[in-house]
Amino acid sequence: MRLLLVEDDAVLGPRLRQDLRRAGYAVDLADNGIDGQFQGETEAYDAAILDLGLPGRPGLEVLQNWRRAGSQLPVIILTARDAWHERVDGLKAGADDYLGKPFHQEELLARLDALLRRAQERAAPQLSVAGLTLDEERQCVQLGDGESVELTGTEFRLLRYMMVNPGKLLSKARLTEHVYEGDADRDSNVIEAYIKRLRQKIGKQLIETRRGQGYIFGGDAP
Amino acid sequence: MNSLAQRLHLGLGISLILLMGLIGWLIYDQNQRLADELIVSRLQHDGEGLLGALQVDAEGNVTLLEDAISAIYQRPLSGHYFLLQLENGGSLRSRSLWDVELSGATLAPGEQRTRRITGPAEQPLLMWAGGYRKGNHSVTIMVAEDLSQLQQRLLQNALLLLALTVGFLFLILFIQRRIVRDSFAPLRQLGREIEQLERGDIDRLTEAVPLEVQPLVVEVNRLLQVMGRRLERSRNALGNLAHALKGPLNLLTQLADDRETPASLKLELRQHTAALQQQIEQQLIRARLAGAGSAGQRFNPAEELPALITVLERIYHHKQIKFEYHAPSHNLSNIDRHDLHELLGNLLDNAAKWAQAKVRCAIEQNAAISITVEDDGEGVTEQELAALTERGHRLDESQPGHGLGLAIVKEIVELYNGTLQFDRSPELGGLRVRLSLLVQQ
Repeated sequence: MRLLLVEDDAVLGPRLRQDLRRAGYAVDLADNGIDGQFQGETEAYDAAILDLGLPGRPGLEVLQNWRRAGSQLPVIILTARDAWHERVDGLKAGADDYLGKPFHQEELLARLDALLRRAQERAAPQLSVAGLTLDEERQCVQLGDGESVELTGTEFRLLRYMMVNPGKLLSKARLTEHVYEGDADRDSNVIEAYIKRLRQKIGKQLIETRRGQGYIFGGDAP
Repeated sequence: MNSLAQRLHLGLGISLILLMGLIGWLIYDQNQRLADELIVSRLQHDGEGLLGALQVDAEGNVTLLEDAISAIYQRPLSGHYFLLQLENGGSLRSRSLWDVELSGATLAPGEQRTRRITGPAEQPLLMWAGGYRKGNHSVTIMVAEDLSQLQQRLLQNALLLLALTVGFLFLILFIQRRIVRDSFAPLRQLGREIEQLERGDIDRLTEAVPLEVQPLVVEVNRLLQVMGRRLERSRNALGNLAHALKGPLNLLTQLADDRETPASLKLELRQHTAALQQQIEQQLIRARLAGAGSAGQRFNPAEELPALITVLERIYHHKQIKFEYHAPSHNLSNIDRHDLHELLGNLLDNAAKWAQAKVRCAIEQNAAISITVEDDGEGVTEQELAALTERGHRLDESQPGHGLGLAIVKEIVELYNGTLQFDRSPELGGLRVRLSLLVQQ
């Protein structure tokens, strides 16, 4: 899962990015409204965390511009302006959730998880596909025979993205977009290497290769 | 009396009645006088004719030449009578008098008198009397005429005049009503606009009104603008303050959550940041409240409640709470949108915090605004009910929240001159909060 974090606070932004990375997300940080809007428009994110009091362009305007352009990107607003009417206005502007500052990290992660689950139309709190159960807190995966396997950060992000999109044909480019941060070195060969390592950990048959097209996880593509 | 229209009607009505009464009375009086004068002059002529017909012979006997007397004096009770009174006590009278006497004093020659008397058959008579000398004799001639027919005509005329006057009075009052109503039409429009203003459908009054009320309207608009701007400015400033204060506070909170922070420090950090946050929230929320009669936006339940409920569903995403609501679909009058959001937000938040699966909310606007919020949680005991609205009172320390919600609710209710009641929901079993705002005293 790749997130866009738009936060201008020089201390809070990097700290939050660190926390989110630790929770297994790839995170791009923008520290002003204009860059934030541009990144949200051009990059493939799974969700955005948006501050409202941004330099350059107010967060609410950024959100409205995204929505006007037809973007369905799930957005959590994170702000000190958390009167009830401001929350309602944020939601009316197209936000999916609204979290007032100060907040606890667990609360943000819980809301983010709920938001992503809603976006994926998934009701169960645990991600469980094709006999695999992903433990998002400990970033490991439980196999069908009950064995628990540790995953590295990138492996975890890759497996999670494939597990929330089972049966879909996922190109290498798409996997790269959703697994790596914007400034990471994007080499599709690296994805191949990670797929290979995942197969070693969870079993070969779960990830099918479509030559020249990409990969399918846990089932057949239509 | 406070109605301008009624004052105008009453003033005009009284003036017209006085004027027309005076004119009517003058016309009636003048007619009477004119008629009297005409009759008297005729009676005088008849009297002089009688004097001419009076014959005095050598022995002093007095007779009248029958031929010279008009036939009307011969017919009994014809309404025309005469009486000649001689100085020796004798008298001659018209046959029309039949056997009725006309009483009258004798007058000296040259003297004349006019008066009203009651004649035969109760006829009202106007009598003219004059003293004359015929030969050596003094004679008093009295001639009288029945007025009853004339008086009846005069009365008829007067009644006709009265009827016309009353009709005319009503016509004038009717016309004036139309004029007044047309002149006051802009004021009624103004009244309607003020209602719209209270509902927040418009934010200023139309200034195209009669000259007399225009200064008032302009001033109201100016005040609305000033109040609106002041509210907006202070709310913006408070928003900025919140932003400025909560940034560092947020960092402290994050620090307390950080896995590298020592456990002993964590606890202390959490306590202090929580206390700080509570104070900031409390004062900011209070300062943001606008209160009754403010110039801000209005609250439309049909539009706002679903959004507010979505906010709450996100907050309580770990619970499956069903929110039911029943509310009007028009703007609520005289209540600021932000204030009502704060009120309902806190009420619903509190209900959702304790609810197991259901929260119900009903809003009604009659003269006052009534709001009921109930949940299916465990409810509270009697002692807890009493302590419920104290500032910062928390019923369960283990539940998240600042314990501010119901205190803020109480404050808003007071600001809007309302009432607040807590009891157990008869249907859902949890806490029921019932309140009314803008209660007339």
